Amino acid sequence: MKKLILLVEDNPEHAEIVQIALTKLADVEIKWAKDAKEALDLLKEGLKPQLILLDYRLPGMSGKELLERLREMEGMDAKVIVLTAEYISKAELMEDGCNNALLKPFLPNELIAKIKKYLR
Amino acid sequence: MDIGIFREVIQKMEIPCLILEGNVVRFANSSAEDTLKRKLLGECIEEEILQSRAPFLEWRSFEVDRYRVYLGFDVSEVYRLKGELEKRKEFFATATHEIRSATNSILGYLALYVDGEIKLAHKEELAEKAYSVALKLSALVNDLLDYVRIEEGLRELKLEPLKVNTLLHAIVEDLKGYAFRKNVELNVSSVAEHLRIIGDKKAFCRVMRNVLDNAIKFTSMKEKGEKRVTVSFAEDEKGMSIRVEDTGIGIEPEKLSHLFKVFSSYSPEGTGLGLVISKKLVELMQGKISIHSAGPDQGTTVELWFRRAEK
Repeated sequence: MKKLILLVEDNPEHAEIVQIALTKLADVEIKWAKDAKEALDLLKEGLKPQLILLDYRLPGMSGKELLERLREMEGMDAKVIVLTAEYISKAELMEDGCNNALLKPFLPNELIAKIKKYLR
Repeated sequence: MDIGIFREVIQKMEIPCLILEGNVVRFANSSAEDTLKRKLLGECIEEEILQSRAPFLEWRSFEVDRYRVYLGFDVSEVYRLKGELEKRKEFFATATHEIRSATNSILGYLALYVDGEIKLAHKEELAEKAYSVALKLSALVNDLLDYVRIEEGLRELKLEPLKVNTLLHAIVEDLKGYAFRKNVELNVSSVAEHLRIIGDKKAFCRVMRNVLDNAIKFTSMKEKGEKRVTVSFAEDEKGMSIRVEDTGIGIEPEKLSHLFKVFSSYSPEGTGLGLVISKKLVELMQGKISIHSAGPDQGTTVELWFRRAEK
């Protein structure tokens, strides 16, 4: 069965890079939401991703806010990896409640290595 | 304590001061507001009251003999600097975010491009995309440095009489190819041969290039209808105005004021600093710049005004 990843990213270039990079992984399907609202709508409609890749600086609701919402959501067991270009440390991001974080700029292979850990 | 001498010193130094003996006001100078005096008469003194009466005064009190002395220190400069620091922090945060974002795109595209495992029909497109982001990053870094230099007062302008006619023609000539590729008609009405304005050559060219570039870009973004940018001139007693009018995508009037703020770019291609830098440069040349639009799809007009050089 294909493993589902939800990518929440407003930057179309970054989204494209992640999508192309993930073609290196077999049996992975990726769904792209351009902002937090779109992501919430998808989840409400019943999307059940195993992993969420979350950008932090998003138009409208921020990634941090979305992360809080996810943590309060019943039955939500998706792991969250934050991807951000913000001026913030990984330790601070972990305190916000994500499972892992990757600061931009990163290499696509670094992301793949991290993703593999959560898709067993 | 001899209140007489103290009073004299305080008056000379213009420090807001209040001296109480018990609950009786023994001294209050004009800087300590009247309202404050009245409020304090017969009442006990609370720090909050003092603070709320004069937000930019920080009151310190101490006891001398049987008196309680209140001195107000002006901290408005501290508040101003705090605000300034906040603004800088925000600027720094956004600037680093933009640089990191662009670097992420360049690195990502190129890493995928050289990755043998990635099979794509048009793989060279990845390198082309990296190249175009690199160009954007380079423009961003240049704009950032320019902006900071202007803010720090390090950009020194050489104000001299400039021949508008010659300079503008060179800029328009340069941009003709760009306008043509973007399918935008670029019209420039003739300007008096002799007319000279006061300005810095580099700064003037940068501003005009930025304004025209924007006009062409935002006109080309319109889906249908006429695509035209018109440059016209008007002289008045003291100066000359340049009007750049386009038939482009326009903007909601309530959003116009945001355009002169840092990082408020209206297009993904922009650095978010172009118009901000232009406005600063125009002001350094003692000119004016304003932007108008009746609304989305109604076009935009930028009006510039420069001082005329004496003949």
